[in-house]
Order: sequence, then structure tokens, then C-alpha cells
Amino acid sequence: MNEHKDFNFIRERVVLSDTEKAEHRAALLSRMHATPMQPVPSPYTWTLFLNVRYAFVALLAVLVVSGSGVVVASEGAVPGSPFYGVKLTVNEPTRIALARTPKEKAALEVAYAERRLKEFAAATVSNRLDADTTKLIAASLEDRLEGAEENIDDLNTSGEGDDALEANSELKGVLAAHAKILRKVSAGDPVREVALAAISEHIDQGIVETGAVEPVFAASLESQESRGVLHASVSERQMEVVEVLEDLREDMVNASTTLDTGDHEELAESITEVTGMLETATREKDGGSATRALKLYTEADARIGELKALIEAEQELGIDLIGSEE
Amino acid sequence: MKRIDEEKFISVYDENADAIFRYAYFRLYDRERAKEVMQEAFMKTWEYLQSGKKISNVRAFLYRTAHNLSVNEAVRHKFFSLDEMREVAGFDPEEVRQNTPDTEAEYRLVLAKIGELDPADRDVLLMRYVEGLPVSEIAEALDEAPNTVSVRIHRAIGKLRASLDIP
Repeated sequence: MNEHKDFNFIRERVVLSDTEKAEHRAALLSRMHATPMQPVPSPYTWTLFLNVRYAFVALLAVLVVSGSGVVVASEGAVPGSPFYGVKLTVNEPTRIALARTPKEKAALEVAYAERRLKEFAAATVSNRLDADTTKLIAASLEDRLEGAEENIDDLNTSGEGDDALEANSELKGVLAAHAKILRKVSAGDPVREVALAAISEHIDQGIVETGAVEPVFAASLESQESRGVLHASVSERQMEVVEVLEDLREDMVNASTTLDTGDHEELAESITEVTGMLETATREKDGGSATRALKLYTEADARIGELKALIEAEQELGIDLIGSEE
Repeated sequence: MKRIDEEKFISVYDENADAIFRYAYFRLYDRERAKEVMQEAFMKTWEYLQSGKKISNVRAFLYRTAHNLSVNEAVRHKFFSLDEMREVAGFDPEEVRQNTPDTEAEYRLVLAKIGELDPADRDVLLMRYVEGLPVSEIAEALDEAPNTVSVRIHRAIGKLRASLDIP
């Protein structure tokens, strides 16, 4: 099934006729001319009433999602820009507070932690880091990692051990990749190494903690499996990981101009390793051990995520990360 | 998007009207109501811009507005059953194009199966593969993390393939 091609018929058939389009165009123009200039609430506020329980969060949410100048300006802010602090302390925490489930919250916490690490790497390479920015990034990273771990624990305790294992592995992969990236961009520069020390503390702690809880989540899954209440679909997980592996191969092809021979050799070796994990996982799945299969698929997924992050960083930062010595 | 003039906004309408209509259609399965939602989504976006506010990505904003309006509309008018959805998913016979009976049956089956997906799965699948939106833009429109959207797309495709018996 080629989704892009196979769904073309929908675009061709579920469509406005020329007459309908012209009529609505005319009606829209007529209403536009009749519209007085007045404040209009953001459509985003629709979700506000379903989610927000506290007035403070509501106020922040209005600022974040309704288009208030400073908050909107801060959305794309990078380290060193005047609104960067607003993004880290207002926008992101508010979006997390508005997420409805531990799964959504954990996904946002992990995404923002990764964003922080990417921003730190980019600012290091372009020499845009100062002591205040480093402190801000370190504090935000600490908050995001704590939040991610709390929500991942919540997922596990609420019987969603597979989602907990998946989010935990993703976080572990993000941290492992950026530990390598940041060591590389800071190596040999005393100023950069001092800045990195403030961040490394949290990365190292995160790697230790995500590794420590893996057996706990695996035990939860085993317990669920033995009681016949395992909700996770091993086949779905298998399909997801195979697709992510395909994405990695595509990334390699797209990045072929920036990858050298050593990079290709190391990536090929890593892909062989991941493929082996997937084969073992499939044997476990076929043998009836859903937990062991899920664990292996999740480990493979995290490893693929790490390799994708390295390829992306190598392209964006212009440094040799793959196939290089630690 | 900064303050926008009328001409530019109408060009936004010309470029996106069909896509926003489709988005609403697959939420409501009612052509007339989908057209109303489409019209209202553009109008609310225009009013929002006229009030002096800025929108960084107008297309994502339009989807978000259409989503909220469609959900409200669906709650107000729970008028269709699953069978009715399957029925309308096939479209009126007079709209059928020059296709073989087999192709037509296949189209109807795919549309019916899409209609059976959860609305959240259907949204991401249509936005990604029918409208061709990048994951980042879908994430912005739905206010979700990109990873969440990617996983949902993969899962939606998996469910659709399974329902169509495609390996």
C-alpha cells in the first residue's frame, strides 16, 4: 500500500465544486467586509475549558495559546534571544499542564528535553552561550527530565507498562545520543567544557535513572502478561519499529553527502545490530513471550532514535559524530 | 502571519478551502455541515487576524479552528449511525467518476474503513496522506508533540491495513 498514491482519489472526490467554492468565496468576502474590528477569542480556548483546573494555569494558557505578543514571539526563541526564558518557563510548562494524560505529558516532557539539548549543542557550536543561558537551560532540562520520569512512572502504575517502557527508552536514547554530541562539540575548549559540566550532571543522572527503571517496567509487563491483562499489541510495536528503521535508512540516503566512509561503516554495523535485535524479538513474539519481544523492540527503537539523532546533529552542526572516537 | 490584507486572505481561502472542507467532512460526514464549518473556520480566522493578533502558521490555525468547530457541531448533531457513515462515505452515485466497478468498490471499501477509524486516527491519516502536511505542521495544528503524531500516523495506517487485510 502506497498511502500517498492510494489516497489520491480522496483528494479528487471529496472536493468542493467550482460553484460551491465561488459561492462560499463570495459569502466570505461579504462577511469580511461587514466585520467590525474587535477582539475575538482564540479558537484554542475551546480546549481550555476541558483541561484547565487552576486559574493560574488558565492565565498562562491564555497567554501561550491565544496569541499574546511576548508569548507568541517566544515560541521560536533560541538561546540568547530576549524571549528564550519565556519559552522555557511559560510556554512549555503550560503546554505540558494542558496535556490530558500522563502519556501525552511524558511525550511532551521528552520532546522538550530533547529540544533543550539540541539548543544547547547549537548554541555551543555558534558560541552563543553565556553563564545565564547555560543556567537557564540546565534548570529547564532538570525540570523536563523530572517531569518525564514522573509521568513515565504514572504510566507504569496505571497499568500502561508498555507505554512507560517505550517513553523511558526514548528518553534514554535521547540522552545517550546527546551525551555523545555534547562531549564532541565541547572537547578541547575549556569554556565549553565548563558549560557542559552544568548540563552533563543532568544527562548522566537521567541515563542512570532511565536504565535503573527498565527492569521495573519489564517486570510490570511480565506480571500483566502472566495475568492475561497485557494490553500492548506486539504486532503494532513490531510494525512501528520496522517503519522507524526504514526512516533511518532514508535519513542515511538523504545525508549521504555529509557522511564519510567511516560513518557509513559504523551505521551499517549498527543497523546490522538492530536488525539482529528485531529478529530475536520476532522469535520471542512467535514463541509467545510478548514481554521479551516488546522489550527488545523498544530497545531497538531507542537505538534507532539515537542513530537518527547523531545523523541529524552531524548534518546540522557540521561535526563528525559517527564513526569517531569517544 | 502578520496583519493580512483581504486579497491575500482570499488567496489563502483559494488554496485551502478544499482541504479544510475535507477535514470537516471526515469529521461530520455531512456535506452541507462541512461546508458551513469550512466557511466559519475561515471567517473566525479572518476575525482573529483583524483583531490585531498574529498567527505563525495560518494553515495549522485553520485546521485547529475547523477541528474545534467540527467537534462542537458533531456534539450538537449526533445524527448519524455507523452504517449511515459507511453509506455516505461511498458518495452519491451521480458523483461516481469513470471507474471500473472493481475500482469503485475498492474506493468505497477504503472510505468505509477510514470512516470506522477513531476520529483522532482519521485526522492524522488524512492530514498526512491526503493533504500531504508534514508531521511538524500536523503536530502544530493538533497541539501535539511531533513524536506523538508520528506514532499515531503509523498506528492509524496499521489499523487501516489490518482492516483491509493488507499485510
